[in-house]
Amino acid sequence: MKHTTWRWISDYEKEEKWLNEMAAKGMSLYSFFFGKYTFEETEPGKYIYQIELLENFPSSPQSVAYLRFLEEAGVVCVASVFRWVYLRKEAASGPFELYTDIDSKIKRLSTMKNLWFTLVWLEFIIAAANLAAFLYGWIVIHQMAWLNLGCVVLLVVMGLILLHLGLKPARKIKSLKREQLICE
Amino acid sequence: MTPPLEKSPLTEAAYYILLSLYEPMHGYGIMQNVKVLSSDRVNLGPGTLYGAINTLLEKGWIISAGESDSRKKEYQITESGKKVVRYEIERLEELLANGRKVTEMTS
Repeated sequence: MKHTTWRWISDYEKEEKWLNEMAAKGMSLYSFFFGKYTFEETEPGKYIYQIELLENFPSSPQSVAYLRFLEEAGVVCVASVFRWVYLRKEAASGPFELYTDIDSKIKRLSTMKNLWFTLVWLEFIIAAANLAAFLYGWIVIHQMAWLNLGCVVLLVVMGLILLHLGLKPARKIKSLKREQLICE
Repeated sequence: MTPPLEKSPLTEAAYYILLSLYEPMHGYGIMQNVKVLSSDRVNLGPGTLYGAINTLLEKGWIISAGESDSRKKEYQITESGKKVVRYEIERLEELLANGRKVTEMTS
């Protein structure tokens, strides 16, 4: 039996936690596409899920090689959206942690931080262009371009959400780097 | 002054991967082997292992040794890799000797 749920979760850690809670109840993620989660019924706790941000698109040779390597270790990619992949492993074959040392954890977090911060810059640049268009209309040709102002507000709000998402890995990187001074 | 790279301390992961590859082995085999060698203490995550293997390949400390019967990619240590392991053992011996000397003197 398959079940479909619609949901929008921007924080991948919360999403991962939710997927694992579902899997523990016997609802294992089977496919995902932009907010549409399809679950299959399995025995409770059969799979453990992890979400990863690849450095390249899933179809690139680098990612294909990496995903094949994971498959050898019993890790299967059930879905992908852009560079995000949804991975699962049978719980019976032991714990599932992709990264086990500080170095590689920092590398993973940097990939995420870079993605969010790039999008933040993009949002703010487009917001600035809209603000300029609004001010030009208002001061120079005495027309109120409300649409531009609306865009500015929307983009700034979205930019702040993305900034919040990017600051989380940034903070974690900072604390891991401090640890790295004395531990591996 | 920083020592040349081959004399730099290895990470636990790199050290155990190099040790495992004195015999040709595929990725999952390395994970299992490291687990056994360390009596379950070191559990290499597949993401960490993959990154480490690629770095070791780039440095020429290991090479890709073809595919096993099950068509899995196998790796093997090279001469320069073995040299790195020997340096590391010397370094570890120094750490160990100093550690023992100090703790035995004061206890």
